[in-house]
Amino acid sequence: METLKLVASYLLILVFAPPVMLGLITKTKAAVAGRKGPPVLQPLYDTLKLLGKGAVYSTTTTWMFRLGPVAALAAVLAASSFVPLAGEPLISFNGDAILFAYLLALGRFVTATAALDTGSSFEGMGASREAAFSSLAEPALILAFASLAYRSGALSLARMFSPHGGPQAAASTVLALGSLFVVLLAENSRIPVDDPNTHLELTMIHEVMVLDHGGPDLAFILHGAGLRLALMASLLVRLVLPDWPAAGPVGSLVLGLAATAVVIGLVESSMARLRLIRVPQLLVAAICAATFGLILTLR
Amino acid sequence: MILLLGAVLALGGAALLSSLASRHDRWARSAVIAGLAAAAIAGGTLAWRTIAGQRVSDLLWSWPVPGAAFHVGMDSLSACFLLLVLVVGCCAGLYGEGYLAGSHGHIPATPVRFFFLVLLGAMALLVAARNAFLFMIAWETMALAAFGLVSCEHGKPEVRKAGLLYLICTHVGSLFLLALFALLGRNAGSLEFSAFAAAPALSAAERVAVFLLALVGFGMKAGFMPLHIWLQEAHPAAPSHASAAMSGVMIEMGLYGLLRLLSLLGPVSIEAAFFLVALGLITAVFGITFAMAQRDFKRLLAYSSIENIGIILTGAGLGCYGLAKHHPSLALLGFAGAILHTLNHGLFKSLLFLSAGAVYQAVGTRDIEACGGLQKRLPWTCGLTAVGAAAICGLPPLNGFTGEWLIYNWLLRPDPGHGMLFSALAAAALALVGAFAVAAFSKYYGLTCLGQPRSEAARDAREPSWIMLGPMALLAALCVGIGLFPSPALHVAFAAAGDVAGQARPAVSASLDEWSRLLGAIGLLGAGVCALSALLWLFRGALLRRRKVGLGPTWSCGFTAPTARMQYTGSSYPMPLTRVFAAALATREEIRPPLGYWPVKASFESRTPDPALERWLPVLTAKFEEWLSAPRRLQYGRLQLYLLYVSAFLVITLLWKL
Repeated sequence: METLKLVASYLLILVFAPPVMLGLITKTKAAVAGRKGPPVLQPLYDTLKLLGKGAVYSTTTTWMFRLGPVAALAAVLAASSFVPLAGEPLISFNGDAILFAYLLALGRFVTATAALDTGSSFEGMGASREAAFSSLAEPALILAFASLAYRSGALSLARMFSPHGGPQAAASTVLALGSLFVVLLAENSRIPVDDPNTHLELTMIHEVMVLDHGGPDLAFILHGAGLRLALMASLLVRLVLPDWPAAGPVGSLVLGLAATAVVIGLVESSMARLRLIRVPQLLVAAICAATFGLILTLR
Repeated sequence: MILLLGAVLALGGAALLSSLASRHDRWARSAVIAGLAAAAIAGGTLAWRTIAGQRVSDLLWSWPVPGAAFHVGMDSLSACFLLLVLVVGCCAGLYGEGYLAGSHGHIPATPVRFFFLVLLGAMALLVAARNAFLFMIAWETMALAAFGLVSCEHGKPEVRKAGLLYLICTHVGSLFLLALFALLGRNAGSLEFSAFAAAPALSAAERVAVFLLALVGFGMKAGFMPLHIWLQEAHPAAPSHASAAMSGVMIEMGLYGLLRLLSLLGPVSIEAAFFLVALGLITAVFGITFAMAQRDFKRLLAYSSIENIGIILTGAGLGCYGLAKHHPSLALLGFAGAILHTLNHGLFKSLLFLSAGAVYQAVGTRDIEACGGLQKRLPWTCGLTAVGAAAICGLPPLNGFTGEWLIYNWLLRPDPGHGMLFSALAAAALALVGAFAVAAFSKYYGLTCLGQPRSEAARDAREPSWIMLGPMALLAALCVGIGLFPSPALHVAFAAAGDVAGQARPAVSASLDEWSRLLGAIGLLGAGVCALSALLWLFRGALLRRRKVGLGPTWSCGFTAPTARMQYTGSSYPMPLTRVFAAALATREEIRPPLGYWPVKASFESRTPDPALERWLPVLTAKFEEWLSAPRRLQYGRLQLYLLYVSAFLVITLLWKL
């Protein structure tokens, strides 16, 4: 019974958390701008609509283009099994944090190669930028993981991302949180690294990689990207917020995810996208923050 | 041990037979294939038995040379490397027959067959040698056979240059090894490996000397930065199956040498272990950064070999740290990670070199910017390239992940004690290397195989013969197999690591069980990813069945006349990263912008030369040349003068003796 409940809440979060988070971000941005904005569930409607559509494939493309969205979503889904989405994760073992990072890298690899399969210079540009910026985000992610792993005495996401340590660990938590938040923004193509709502292909990163995808493929990509955001956000939530007894583990996580979405929306409303040349500097700053956090853990 | 002799003799005999039958191509080919098959069966049986725990007695024949003996033995470490030699060697050798046939006489078949088989035989003997003299003979045979392979297309000036560079480098390395064995032999009073192990302890200064001599001697072959200078020149020059054997196995022999020495002489100091880890990480970051910037795809692969050697050295350094700290499980984990990555690298790197050879033969160039769109023309070759590229990035359902994961687990273990910061930074450096590998290999695979053909030759490219595809498919199947079922490979790696760390079987198997369970889970998860992808694929198919699926041109954001030349290129793809590392890469660019009102010609050219070879080495050699210019006056180039020297020398020695 317990297992059934766990799996059921997992599935619900996997299906609904990504579109709702994206919807909340848009809603927050609209509210700050004084608009009404689309309904919170709009991304879900979009995904459902796309699932029902046909597709147009470029004659240049091969099976890699069709495999990309499928494998990327599968990789993110597999990565989700280590994240404690329903109080505890589906699977947990020492070293799953590394597997998590590399499964996300697998998703990037197939998305980038699928983009290159179209032979379009726009999609090549997107793939090139994605590969570059995620390369610099990766060390920040691993450094933050390292400080949390040393602190919690385990290399599994479930143990690393739980509130502990008390006030003396607060500084290192804040630094890890900061660097992970920057990684989250960079890996999920949010402002200030990338603007998902821009209308000019030349300035895009993630969106321009998937220009040629349509129908169910695009639905998979959008859901996978949203899920990646939701997974990283739930790690952050687990790191800071203790379980709220009234809401239970799932309820507290959902509330935390909603709060994170609002914070991301506020960040996006309050600043502009950085020039692409400046993005590496932001990511190096995240690496430095993670290193400082690590040094504080070692103290 | 008769089996080992059988394997070496089969390879050597096949080498001789294939050159004797050089007039009859079919006979020569049969000799090669028969030799490879015999060696694989004999050597494989021996390696399998040894790893399974059977004791194999040594073979010791005396040799009328002072200090020398024909002494061969087998333990798990030797067996592990022997297995690598045979698997990669046989796949590459079989492929080589198709490659030679497809080269239409551009590559001289007889010397390539001969040297390739000699290379394999020498390596098989090398890993079993238990006497320094025999070891050096096998080492030199291996080095010279590789020289024969590198310079087989000696009509081209760049090949001659690469061959000469390789020859000089390998001999400098051998010189250091000779000094190393002389030092050890003097201390032990014998050139037997067992005598080295039993010899009285070396003094502190001698230990440092041994460490440095071994590091340079073996490192020159393995390609530790900055001793790698020959690698990126020699690998592109050799025929592809030879590059596969050199990159997948031969450079790993440098690591075998280091590990063997460790198993004989015992732990190094903590400082030395730190140094090895740091050197490994520097090598890895250096290798992959330069790999990203290359346009020649075989050069890209060669630089990525440097990267992987760096990762392996990092693992070995971590094992040394465990030994020095008297922490047996850590020592085992570090060495096992290094050895597992060695095996994995041997498989995916040879796969990539073989597929690169097929692309080279189909398109006729190694320039990434003249390829593209090959997946439609060479579906099998490019599909296998995709497997190799994903494996070398260390992505999960494939084998590259397993070894790296062990090293990560060493670095981020929960109770690190001192050196935590160092460990964490090392893990971050590994993460950077992994992410750069994704950039470099999405570039290699994406720009070579996908998109639209960038040249006429790429448009007309055709799939190679099955004799080339079969071995590549086998290597790819091994990559996938180890990724999904890592336990057998892990078993081999731990058995060999136990030999290096000097640990008994029971202690090793306790550790092995723990890691095998975890890696087994990872393999299952990898299978889960594959199953999930298959499910989603079927779901997508079901969704699309009832809908309209059309075909059309790639969307170019409103532009209606895109051409293949507008695609991203091998130089522009990594540019966001190469710009960040511009100072280190020092890419040379020659830009001739369009000038005037009616510009006629404009061009842009960029090249990333190797810094060690083209910037640092000339500084060193300039000084050296100055020194040597004094005795150079003796060299006049006149025969009479040399005869005078000889007679003067003889007279002086006679006078001195009298």
